[in-house]
Amino acid sequence: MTAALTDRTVRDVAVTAEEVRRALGAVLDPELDEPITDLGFVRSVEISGSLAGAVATVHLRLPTSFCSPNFAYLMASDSKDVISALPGVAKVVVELDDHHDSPLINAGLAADAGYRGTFRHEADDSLEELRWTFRRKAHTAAMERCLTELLRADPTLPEENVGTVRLGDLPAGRTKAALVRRRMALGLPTEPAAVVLVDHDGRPYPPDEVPMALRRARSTRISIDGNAHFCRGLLRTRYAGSGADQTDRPEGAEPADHHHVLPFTVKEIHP
Amino acid sequence: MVEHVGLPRLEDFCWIATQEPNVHGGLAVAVPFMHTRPRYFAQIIGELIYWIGEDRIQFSSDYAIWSPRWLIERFVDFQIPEDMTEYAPLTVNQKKKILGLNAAKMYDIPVPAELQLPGADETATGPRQPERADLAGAA
Repeated sequence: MTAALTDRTVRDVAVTAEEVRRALGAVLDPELDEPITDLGFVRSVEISGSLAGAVATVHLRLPTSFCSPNFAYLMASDSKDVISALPGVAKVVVELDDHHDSPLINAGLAADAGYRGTFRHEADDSLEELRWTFRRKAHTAAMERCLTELLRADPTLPEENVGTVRLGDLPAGRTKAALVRRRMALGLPTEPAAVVLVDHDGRPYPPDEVPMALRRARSTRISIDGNAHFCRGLLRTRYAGSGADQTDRPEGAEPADHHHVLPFTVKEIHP
Repeated sequence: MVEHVGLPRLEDFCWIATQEPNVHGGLAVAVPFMHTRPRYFAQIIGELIYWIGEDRIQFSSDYAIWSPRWLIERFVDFQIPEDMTEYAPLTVNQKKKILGLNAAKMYDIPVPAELQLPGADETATGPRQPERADLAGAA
């Protein structure tokens, strides 16, 4: 085999860091319902080539050293899965940096020990249940955003009446598109005649329960939006310059989001 | 008194506190959002007034971090943004209660007679459908 042929072969099979980042865009922070790439959680992506295929090494970082170990593991192991699925990748190393459970999680990832194998007696029953909990919350928040937009646009619309609003009544746009995606994730119908305000199983509410259902959904949405921005701020404070890796989040945005310099000294230095 | 009003778990705090008439929400950590995230704070206070009512919310200062005078002054002037039509504007009476009269009542701190809140522990909100609580369903 000539040198030129070898070079080309390596290029043909090896993935690029860009492709790895794109794949990581499918990994969500379960609680914030956003890709880890938008949140700035991907610290570095390195590709080293070999004839057998590429070795992808990814470092992840989180807003605090005490973010939920369950969520941290879930994002890290999802990262390993999506990269492993890319053609031309022979080996994937995913490491979570600067977390109190980094040694445990990284060892578990390296050994493909799985969630229970990694956390052993500290593990909850099922990560899958955790995923569903947050998929449901994401749907709840998306539903409320659509209905509150309607209520704000039409002050004469009584809260009790939003229980009969159908998907077809919602104006096209980002908010509605997000709701349709969340409904698909839960296996709920997405045709125009489908009622918007439904429980996790797709059941609409009786009229007298509509205001309470909307109000509960609202507190869920406010929590998710608030925490999404709070976590972004914590990451920027913890890792100088990490704001450049974050994508702005329109939901819950405020003017201060564009002032990335906080009047605090960064206490942790991570060269 | 639950400080931070449960943040970052506002929704859980609201849902639990609304079913327990002796639970009060302390605004530590929440109030300073008036500065950086006023719309977020507006929604926090709007939710609290709905779920636990104006009689069970208390100002807190985070005094160890800063001198709290600016928080009090900003809260006196604070108002829900007009486009957030899902919340009623904050009233002067609500602000008085949150800034001190609720605490005066809870801790028996003397205040001028005309400011004294009624002695009977009758809040407008109180428990809502406790049988539908998540915990009740799981039992």
